[in-house]
Amino acid sequence: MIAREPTRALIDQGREEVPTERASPQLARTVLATALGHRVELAEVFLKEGRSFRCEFGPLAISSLEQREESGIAIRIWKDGGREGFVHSDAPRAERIESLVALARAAAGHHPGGPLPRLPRGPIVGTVEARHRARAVDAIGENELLAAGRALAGAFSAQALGATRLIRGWVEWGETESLVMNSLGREAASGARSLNVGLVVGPSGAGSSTAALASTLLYRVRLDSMDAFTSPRLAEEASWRVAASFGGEPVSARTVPVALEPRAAASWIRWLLPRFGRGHTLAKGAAAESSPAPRAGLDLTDDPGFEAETMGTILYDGEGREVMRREILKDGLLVGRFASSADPEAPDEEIGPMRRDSFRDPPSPGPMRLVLAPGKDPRDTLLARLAKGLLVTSLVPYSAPGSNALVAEVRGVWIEDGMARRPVARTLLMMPSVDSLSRVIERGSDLESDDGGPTIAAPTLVIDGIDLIPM
Amino acid sequence: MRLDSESLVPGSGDLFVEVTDSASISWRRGSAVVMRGIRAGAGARASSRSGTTVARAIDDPSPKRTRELLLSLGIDGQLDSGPEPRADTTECERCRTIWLGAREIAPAGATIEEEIAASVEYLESLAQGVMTEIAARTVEADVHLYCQAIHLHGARGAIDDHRGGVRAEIRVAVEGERHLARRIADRDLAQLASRLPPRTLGTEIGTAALLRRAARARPDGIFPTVFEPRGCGALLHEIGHLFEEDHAKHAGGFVRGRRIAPENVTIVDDPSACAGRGQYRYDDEGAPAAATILVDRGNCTDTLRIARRGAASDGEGGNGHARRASYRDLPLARMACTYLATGQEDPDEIVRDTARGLFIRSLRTGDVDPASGAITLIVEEGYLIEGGRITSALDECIIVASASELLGSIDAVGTDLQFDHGAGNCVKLDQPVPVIVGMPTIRTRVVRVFSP
Repeated sequence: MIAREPTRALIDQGREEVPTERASPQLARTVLATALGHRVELAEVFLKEGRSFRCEFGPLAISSLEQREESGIAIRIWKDGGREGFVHSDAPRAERIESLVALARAAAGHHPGGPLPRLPRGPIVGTVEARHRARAVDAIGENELLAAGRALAGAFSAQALGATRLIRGWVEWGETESLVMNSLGREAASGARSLNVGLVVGPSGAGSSTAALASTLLYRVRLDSMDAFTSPRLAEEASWRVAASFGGEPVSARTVPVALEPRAAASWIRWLLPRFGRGHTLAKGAAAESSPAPRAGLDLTDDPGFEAETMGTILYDGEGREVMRREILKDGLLVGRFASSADPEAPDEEIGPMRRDSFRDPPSPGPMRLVLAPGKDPRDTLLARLAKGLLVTSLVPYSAPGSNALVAEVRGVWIEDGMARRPVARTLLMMPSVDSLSRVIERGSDLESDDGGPTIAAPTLVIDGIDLIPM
Repeated sequence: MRLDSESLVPGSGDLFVEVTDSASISWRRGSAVVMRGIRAGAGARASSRSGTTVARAIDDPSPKRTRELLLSLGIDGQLDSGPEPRADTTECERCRTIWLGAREIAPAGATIEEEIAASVEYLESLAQGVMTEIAARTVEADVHLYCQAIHLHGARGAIDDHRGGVRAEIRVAVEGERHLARRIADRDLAQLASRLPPRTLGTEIGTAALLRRAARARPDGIFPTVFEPRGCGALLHEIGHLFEEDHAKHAGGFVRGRRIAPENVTIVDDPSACAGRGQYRYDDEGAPAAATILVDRGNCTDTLRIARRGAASDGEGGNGHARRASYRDLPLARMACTYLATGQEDPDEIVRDTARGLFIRSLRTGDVDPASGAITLIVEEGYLIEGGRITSALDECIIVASASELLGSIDAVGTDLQFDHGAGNCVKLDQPVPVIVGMPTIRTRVVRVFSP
């Protein structure tokens, strides 16, 4: 049972005045005070305030310029023996607190009860300094975004690649501030800024010829500033991946090594993520039967400080817990996992990070920034060693993340005797989930980050014995 | 960025205000974890003569902030009355309560509370039905309930709409087996329970789990395939994407005026055809919901469109299919309730007439590549057809085919049109919206199946 005594001060403090700022500590204290006034055992409030600008463009013109604000509040309470209630709302306002707490209490009425989660205890951490440390990107205005959009559209018009065309793209800048506070005295504030570019690129012939069946591709990249914004380079990066499989045909059914270029490798690791959670098939330690076989150098690390100069450093998770570097795979063996703070059987050292991508979702265990260690050789050297195989430039999983087998649509280039021979499209790749880690035989030196959810950085990976089937 | 009033396209400004009250329930026998959510906000947009849409979204739809929003875009003068909803035109008592709640900062919860309690009762009864058939290791469900009030103010004037529904995914697992899932949905719990009595549905799911445990076939090759109506909505839905105007222009899309299917195939999208999740009276640009015939006796006749604004307009205008996931998003051309019209063949006869093939009862998910028209469907529950009889249960398998092959090879359409209310949310450009799909039993001759 949590001692209620320390929270008395919070109750009194919260009643002193009604705050007006949305993500203010004072508002959070008022929420906690209101909840504790209803005799809850444990309470937590999460506040988020954000805004973003987005410029969307087509090949010929800017199609939209959007400005959005997004602030919200999430309240979790536990009462009467661990009965949990959760409520979230847009636009946190002091006047709504009483009714939101009432909804959370009503929700808790349906819960059967159980052990309380292990939320972090005080002190107050992550003040203004922490918010700024996490902001690697400068503020960017709408006019800069407009200029960037025009430059990117222009880069596709001007580029000599010829085989590809821009279908649509966007440049988006956003910033958020979040604050999590609980009745155990913990208070953690953090902030983030990001600048993202997305380009949907297709083959030039699509739309006029049914032979041009190579699909479109979304290329997404995070930048650290507008200084890094070089539109011709971005256009080229997006284009080669599409052009690689332009006009591609399926391969006949076979089992071969495949080389996943960094973003395809990141898609594969993202699909594997549920397997790194406590309670899933991968067991910890070399002795476990389901653990993959050792692979020297196959190291997967959750590193909240990875590429800090571009993305800032993540200091706290969604429950206000400090996050730190954590090894998940060491030489191919599972040495770390992600466990929920609500799991009563999880060892303390495995708890977290508890990700909170939105105030609308409760926290859940998962990585902050996963990095698969690169090898020494560049991609071209890896490909030169392939007698027969497929370089995958696009991997779209069809089977559910973490399920027993990965089934994915892949596109890319067929390699024979180390040389690119022909484009490949409309091909299904199949491989078992757990076993696939032990089939990684080579890692490139070309580490790249992919931002579709938690950031995942991976190099080109060569994986042996993969089934390919024509679609 | 404030648009210069001279650069605005007259009448291009509109305002979309939304208040949504929702609940998500993670249910297991004897346990329910409930999450409540209130979403409220306003989005406004206007078009410049160059064709650029300038949009802003705020997460506080109070009259003061909404007025500021309109002023910031320079379109306050274009809208002839204030952004307040007219309560008298909001028919749904629950939505009216939400509206009042939003304005008076006191979210209404009582009615959703009643739905939560009814959901838990429904699932307990369903679980008892499952357990009469099979000793399930787990019976669990995720339920989502929502009630939404919309106020839209544009060149056509002001309209109010209310939307809502309930959807549940029920999963049953027996020892050592992958779970079997069923998705069900309707306008509210009472409607759902009267259409699908929980004990009966539980018994049916239990029987299906038992069958899959007993036998397992792993098909690989090309098969004639019979799709049962209620759980195969993903098939028609993925084909339907190719009629959305932004996809229809790709190589994989369909061209109006061309024959794309046999004469017994007619496909319609009508947002008001079926009560439940995905139903609306007005689309998210304020156009009245209207039935659009996409395929008329095998011929492609129309596409799903939004009312384009500004210089980019091609003059066609919208046809009631503009939808947005929330006040933060811009409308996209989307399906709502898509159905394949009833045919003339006895569904049982369609199976009896199939010497060897597959019978698909439920699809877990699907995907379409609009550039090529390639469709991929994951089979949740299916069976072999041998000698005109349904026999062994299938392990999870994957169907891959092109949309034109699928449509073109339909050789039997049954008389048993039913709606797959549980089709769920369709996600397009990161915007999820609820959809309903309806079809009778159909058979296609060309379906490529893999068993991973």
